[in-house]
Amino acid sequence: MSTDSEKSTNDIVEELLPTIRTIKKLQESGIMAMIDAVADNFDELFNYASSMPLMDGISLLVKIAPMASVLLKSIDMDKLQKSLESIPWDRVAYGFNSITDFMAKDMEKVQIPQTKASMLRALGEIETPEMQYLLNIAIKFARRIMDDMENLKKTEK
Amino acid sequence: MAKKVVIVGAGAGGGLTASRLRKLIPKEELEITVIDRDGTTDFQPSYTMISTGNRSPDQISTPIEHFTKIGIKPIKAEVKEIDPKNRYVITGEEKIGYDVLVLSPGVKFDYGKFPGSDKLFHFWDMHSALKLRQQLAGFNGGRILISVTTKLYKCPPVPWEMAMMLDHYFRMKGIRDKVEITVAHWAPKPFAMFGPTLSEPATRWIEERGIKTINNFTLRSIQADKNEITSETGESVKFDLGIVAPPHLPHDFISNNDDLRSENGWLSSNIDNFRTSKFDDIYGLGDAIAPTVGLGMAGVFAHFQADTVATLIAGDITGSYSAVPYNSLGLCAADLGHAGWIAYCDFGGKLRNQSPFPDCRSTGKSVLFKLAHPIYERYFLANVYGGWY
Repeated sequence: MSTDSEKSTNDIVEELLPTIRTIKKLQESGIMAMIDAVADNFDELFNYASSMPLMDGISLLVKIAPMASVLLKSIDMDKLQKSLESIPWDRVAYGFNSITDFMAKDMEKVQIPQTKASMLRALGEIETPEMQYLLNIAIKFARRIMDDMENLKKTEK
Repeated sequence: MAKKVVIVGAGAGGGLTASRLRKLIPKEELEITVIDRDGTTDFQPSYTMISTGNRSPDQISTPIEHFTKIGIKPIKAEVKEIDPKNRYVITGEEKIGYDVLVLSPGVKFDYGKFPGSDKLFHFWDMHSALKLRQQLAGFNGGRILISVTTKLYKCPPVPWEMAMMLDHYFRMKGIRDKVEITVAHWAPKPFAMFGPTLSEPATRWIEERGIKTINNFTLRSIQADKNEITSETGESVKFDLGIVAPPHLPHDFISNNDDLRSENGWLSSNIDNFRTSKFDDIYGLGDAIAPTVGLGMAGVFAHFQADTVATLIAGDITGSYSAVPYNSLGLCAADLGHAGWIAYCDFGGKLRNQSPFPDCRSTGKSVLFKLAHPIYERYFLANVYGGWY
């Protein structure tokens, strides 16, 4: 068997034929042109990509990865996928928009009370539809967690 | 007629400025000459790995003759003088004219400024890193001391980084219990110059590895014959193997030239356009300007400065190129032996005197990050020489 240094250029080219065919396909598909553009501008790409937000993103991934690994071990992925698919995401997104909009525009208008609230006034607040809606969500959420934990105990036995 | 750019120094600042300029402007329009004293481009962050035997010189060093392959003229010579009024660079044998001059000559090691420093070992250049490699290979136990002679030296975190590398080196060799590693440094804490976000975890790791640190230790004298160093406060430390950074000083052709030096004797420059204060056809970058602009000495600063300088010069010549703004980010991909660590700092606030420290963070340690160093090492040399590294 010949060593690399003994190989002729022809031998090397022949060995590279499958790779050259792939490169030809990449050229015809336009992928090579994209790679060429990246290579052409790589000096600037490296410079601009060397930024605090990008490095922070990498750091976050590195630090979250071990936690995610622990979590994934105990999550039923099929169940998670089905649950995620059935979430009304449009409503969640709408609620999220409302929160960010409130935080941006109205949060500063909320005053810190200078005096203690009276019991009657506090009860009045609790009776409002907004508070009732939030309480209902919290109660249903808590009940669901308790039911699931109860089921988990039964299966462990 | 083609314009002439002369670049002094083939390291990160000079080497990258040359190759970027070559990509931006064709040979017919621009003649580029690189003058370098040593005649090589070295990936200097790997000198530590030369010492520990994890790299050979040919892996991290490229002869400047390779510049001819990408249309750049290399000259191996030591610059003796610069005549900015008449636009000449004078070496021992030649007087080279220029239209634009880029100065990125790095530093000189002046052992005479610190008696005894020439008798100890270090890894701040290739020759010395190889000498240290021999010493480490034959070292079978005893006290290793790492220290620095001057406040400014290349790669500020490297004394502690090297200590952690040596910890791993001797663990792998199976004699860590016979080796005492001490870092005696002027800083109040390891990595203190980068602020608490890096200093605190690094100090913890150093302690965990059983490395001794003597902080606030400003070196006053070296008694090489007694294997001892003494601090400004009179504290003495004995050693069996002394690794001490030699005095880092500006080259004579800068410090002796009123037209080029700043008040501190280092090369004049600024972080907006890197032009010297008296001549706008002379650019200064890299380690030689670090004390002037308030940065540490590190290749990453020179790398991003080269991006800006090359695009500014190209703009001057073609009149059409938009310059890359200076990126003041500092990146350090350290191989600590047992793990890799990527630290990154935004020096913008510090440079504008808004903060005493750069804004530093890190990815944390991971074995995976050991790969960051060799990836950047290969990229750097290939990028300077257009693939002909």
